[in-house]
Amino acid sequence: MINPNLDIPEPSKFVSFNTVDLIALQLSQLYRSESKNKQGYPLDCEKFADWLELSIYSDNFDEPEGASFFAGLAISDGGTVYVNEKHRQLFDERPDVYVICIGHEIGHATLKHLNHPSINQELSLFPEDNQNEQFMLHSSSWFQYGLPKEEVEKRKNFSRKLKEDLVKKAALDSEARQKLRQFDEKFEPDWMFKQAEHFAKCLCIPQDKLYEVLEIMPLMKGWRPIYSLAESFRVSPSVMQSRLLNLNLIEIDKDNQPVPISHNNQRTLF
Amino acid sequence: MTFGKVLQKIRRSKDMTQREVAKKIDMDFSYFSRLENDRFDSKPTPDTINKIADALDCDEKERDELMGAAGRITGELERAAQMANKNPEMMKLFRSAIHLSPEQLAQYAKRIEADAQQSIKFGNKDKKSDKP
Repeated sequence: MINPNLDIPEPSKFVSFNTVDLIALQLSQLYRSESKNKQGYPLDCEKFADWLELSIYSDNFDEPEGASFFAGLAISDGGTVYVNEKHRQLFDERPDVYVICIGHEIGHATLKHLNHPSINQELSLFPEDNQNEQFMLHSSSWFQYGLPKEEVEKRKNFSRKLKEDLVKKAALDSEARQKLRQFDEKFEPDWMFKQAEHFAKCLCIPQDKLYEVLEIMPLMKGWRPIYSLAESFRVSPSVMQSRLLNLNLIEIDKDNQPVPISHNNQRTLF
Repeated sequence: MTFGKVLQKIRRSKDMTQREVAKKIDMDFSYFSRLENDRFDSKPTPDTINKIADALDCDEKERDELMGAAGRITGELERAAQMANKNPEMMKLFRSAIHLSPEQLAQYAKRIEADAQQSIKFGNKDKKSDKP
């Protein structure tokens, strides 16, 4: 991976969302100035990874019980994003899910998460048993990938049930104990997930570009503007909603409708 | 540099994604990705390399670089081999060179290269001797 010469703090749970946003913005601006994609959106995540000199390795990878493996990051060869082609149908049908998946891994790489001491250096679960390749699974928030709610529930329930079974057996069965230990170890810490997820959203919807679009297409009450904005940036409406909420540009009213927030501190020109 | 790394370098220089190249030659995307990530025990065939090189619109040098990285005979080497087949003196030179140490080889290569440059500069009077 290239060194983008940005001020990136050491990985920590205390790195704020604003800092993550700023890093993503600076990286996006650098990309726009150096690549052919001057507009910066919609983001072609594969081209972006190429520009960052992050390799992408797409293949069919086995998934351990109780978890789905969409994409992962390994430190080999200066950084490789592993993409599980078993989910190709989903990725093809939902490019917005794919871009957030890859953006998430780019987030881990940019925020140097694999350098954090909490990451077990000897952890080698899958896809390959190679000590240079570490993977973490996402423990929660499948929903943010844009998966249907039922699918999220199904996956969460399966994991929960598997864990419960292991807990029951653990007292007598050393193999179950070992699996239980790994069960927790193989999941990335929540703060890493959240930072990487936030990074992906910021990268796909760069702040400056969002404001540019909003100048022409101001936000109005209702879901329609969110859907058209999401379409412009080629992200899912849920990702767009979360970005706008995070930037304090909308709020959800009692009728469950998004409403633009009026910033009263702005004065009129005349 | 491995075949995958050479391929990645050339592909990136052409501003094409793995998916775009694979699609252009109707190759399975995972297969292409495995090639680029050096996940095969064996190297790709010259046919496959040529297909990829065509998709990437490679020039002769890039094509040779890909062939070389895959341990295949490059176009330049093939031309040299054909020439050696026709010219016993050149064949003798190749055969003897096999037994030289790397240092000796480097020395001779340097000298031959200098002689070749001279010949190009002043015109090769013995050009006819290429033919047996």
